[in-house]
Amino acid sequence: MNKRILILILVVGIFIALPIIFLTTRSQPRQQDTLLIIPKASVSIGEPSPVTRPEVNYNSDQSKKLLEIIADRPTLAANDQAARKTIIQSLGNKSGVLVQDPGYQIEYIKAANVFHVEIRTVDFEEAKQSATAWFSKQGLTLDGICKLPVVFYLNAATKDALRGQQIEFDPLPGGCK
Amino acid sequence: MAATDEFIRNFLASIIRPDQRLFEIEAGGRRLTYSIEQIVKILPRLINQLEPNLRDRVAPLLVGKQPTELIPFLYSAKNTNKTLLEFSNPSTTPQAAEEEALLQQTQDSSLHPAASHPKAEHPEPSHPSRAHPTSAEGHQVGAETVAILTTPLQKNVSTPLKRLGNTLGTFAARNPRIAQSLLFGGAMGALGLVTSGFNPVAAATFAAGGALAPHWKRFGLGKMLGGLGSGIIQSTENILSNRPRTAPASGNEEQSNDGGDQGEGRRDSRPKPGLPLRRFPISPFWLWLIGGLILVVAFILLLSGQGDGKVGDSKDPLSPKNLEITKIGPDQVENDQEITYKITVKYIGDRTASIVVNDQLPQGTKFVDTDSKPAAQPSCTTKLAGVASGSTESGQNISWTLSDLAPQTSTELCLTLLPTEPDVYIVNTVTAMITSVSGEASSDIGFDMTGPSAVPNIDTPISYALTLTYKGNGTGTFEVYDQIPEHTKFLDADSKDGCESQLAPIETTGTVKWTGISLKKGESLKLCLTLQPVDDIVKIANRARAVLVSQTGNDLFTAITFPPNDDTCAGKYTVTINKNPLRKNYGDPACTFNKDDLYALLQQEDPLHADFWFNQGIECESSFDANNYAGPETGTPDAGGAWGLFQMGQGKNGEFDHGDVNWPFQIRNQANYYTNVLVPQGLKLGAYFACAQKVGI
Repeated sequence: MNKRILILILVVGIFIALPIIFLTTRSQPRQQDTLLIIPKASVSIGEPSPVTRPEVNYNSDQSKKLLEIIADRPTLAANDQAARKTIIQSLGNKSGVLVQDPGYQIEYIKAANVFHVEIRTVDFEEAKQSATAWFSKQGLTLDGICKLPVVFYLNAATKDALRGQQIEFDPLPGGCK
Repeated sequence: MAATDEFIRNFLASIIRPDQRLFEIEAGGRRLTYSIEQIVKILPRLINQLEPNLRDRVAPLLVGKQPTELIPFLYSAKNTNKTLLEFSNPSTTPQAAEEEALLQQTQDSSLHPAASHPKAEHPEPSHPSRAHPTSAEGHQVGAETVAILTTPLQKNVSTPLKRLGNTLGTFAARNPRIAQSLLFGGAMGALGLVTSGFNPVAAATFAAGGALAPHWKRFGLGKMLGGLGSGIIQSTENILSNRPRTAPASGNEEQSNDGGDQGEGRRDSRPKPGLPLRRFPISPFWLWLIGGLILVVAFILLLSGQGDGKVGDSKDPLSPKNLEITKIGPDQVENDQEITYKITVKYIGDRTASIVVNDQLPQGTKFVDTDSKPAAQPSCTTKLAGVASGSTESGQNISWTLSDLAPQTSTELCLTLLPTEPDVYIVNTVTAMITSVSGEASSDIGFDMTGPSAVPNIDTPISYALTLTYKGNGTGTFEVYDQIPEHTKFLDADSKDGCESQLAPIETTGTVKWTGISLKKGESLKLCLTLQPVDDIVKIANRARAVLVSQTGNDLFTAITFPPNDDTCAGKYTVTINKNPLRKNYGDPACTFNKDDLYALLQQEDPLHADFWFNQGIECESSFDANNYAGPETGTPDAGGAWGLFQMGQGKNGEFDHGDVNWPFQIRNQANYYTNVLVPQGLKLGAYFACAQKVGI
């Protein structure tokens, strides 16, 4: 084969390979891979570990009630149903964030068909009231808000900040019976 | 003399490129390339290696000639395909006459049957592509010979570029090892620079390897260097050396007329017997071509902003390339003196960004505050307070959340620490991450509008369809606005023939507005709008616009396929070390495994407890952050703490169920623990998880 053709093939090959190598590696320098560890605790038969102690206590009764609402899905009043439908339609009948506030975030999760309110401030009671007020503005009654269902929870940073303060957090909207 | 004649004939017959002043001689099974000057130098050695009787006969023909005599002699001999006898033709030049005299001496000693080779039996071949000028020296050796000899000599070096090319070519020919090192070192350096994200250390390593690789045989470094580069280069060199060149060159390989003299002093001009000189195998033409291509590619990469590692025009709006972060503080302080750091975060992207800044405090320090410290050195003024988490023992993390940072704006943050141990060496651990961006990015949005084909009139409502397509990464949240044209009023936004409405607007006065549109990459949403003309003169212009309000997540990678989402959040971990005592990297900031996916997988893996985990357990035990870590101070059963969505501990096998286990594995592990560990012992989920115990499951 002609020497020049060989060199040309070599050069062309290098310049085809260069962008490929570059493009396939360029997003990785700043990242660090971590070995995937498949945990084996699940197959270790032995004495059960002691229960974990959460950083903030969730109110047991209210937590049970919330799970019952989620499981039973009590029927909403007609006006609450309409308001709920409007809220979900505003998201295109998909999951999405409805409100983003420094103190809280309201989102709808279609797969679970629940509304999550993430509390982002240590002043969680005020944040809960503000979030509840938003639902009221959408035309929901308090009973409707309780049955939507709406789940309140503290994000990790807030839980950390409240650690050790003997807080008992209610995952239901205030005033739910 | 027949043997002498045969030797000379074979020797000259091996010269295959007379037009380029290059010779290729087969020796030891390899075809090697020589310049004419090199031939002149090694010829005596070649002759010395002949059988003594043959050597004695050949030597008088060539040894002792000056290079200026030998060069045209060899050229003319090869080009005319003549034997030495034919050069003894008295009708040729005085130079040829001299050669004839030499040959005659040989004939006189009855060693050469000269008379048996009349000129008529060897007609001089014609060469239609060449002219027959007179040589620069005025010799009349033969028109053909003179033309070949003088072609390179008459070459005009007319431009600086050619001069530089010739200089480089000459340099490469005279210093082949250095030239090889420069070429391969440069190429490998460029390769290293590009592939390492323009890391100079990597480039230098590549360059050093490339420079040394061509000499692996000489220095025995090939195996030490891994042999790969050396093998490739040596193989390439062998291939090139074993293939005759057939295409004529452009003349760029001209060597100076006194090249032989200039080469006298260099080491390579005195090869060991049997080791011929090696000419640099790549011509200056190819050197220019390769170098030029490297420069072009590097230039293109730089222009495209892909290689400099810090430009702010990254196509990925969440890329850390859109951030600049600096942290300055005193060089040293007394053991009991506070240390104030000034952290400056600058957003150099083109949208509005929310940014989280984290700083992991080193062991031996204690967090004081994040207040302004105008009197400190360096002075620091801030309006944003950070949030501290963790303990001094396990390591504290300070985080700031910067919201709505406009392009090219900076925010100053202050951090004051107190050393709790002497001789604490503090390293910079501050990191920043763009959590979301907002603002319009037209390249991420495809927006089509189809209007009525008929001319609108007052009796017919006007319906048209809008299709919004998201082309960006992750999930985009959009708002769509369409200004109602003059002389029309909003009628409805319902589905019509040819338009399927997927969302109702929230405003219909003046401007029709749709909000809360959430689309993943490649997804589309159809909107419909029907207007009622109120005048006969109606002009409908496309005034609809879509605004990308926010963008979260990113689907830069695809890992193991797990239902219901291909993204296992396992492929890309943040370098931020938040609360992890193991100092490993946790979590996946580009995770698109959202809550819908999480719930679906919980239903699949643990349907009994799916609602509990999704609405109670994860929030109570941990958080929806796969990085979450609960230290020993929280009362976790494991001394080192617990990790991940379900806050599981170290386990019996020394394996951690922590955040670097992807979400599907975390979920399965939890479900397996319940099924394989708790159920066989007649225990409920609450036997292990306190939050489950609270709700009686």
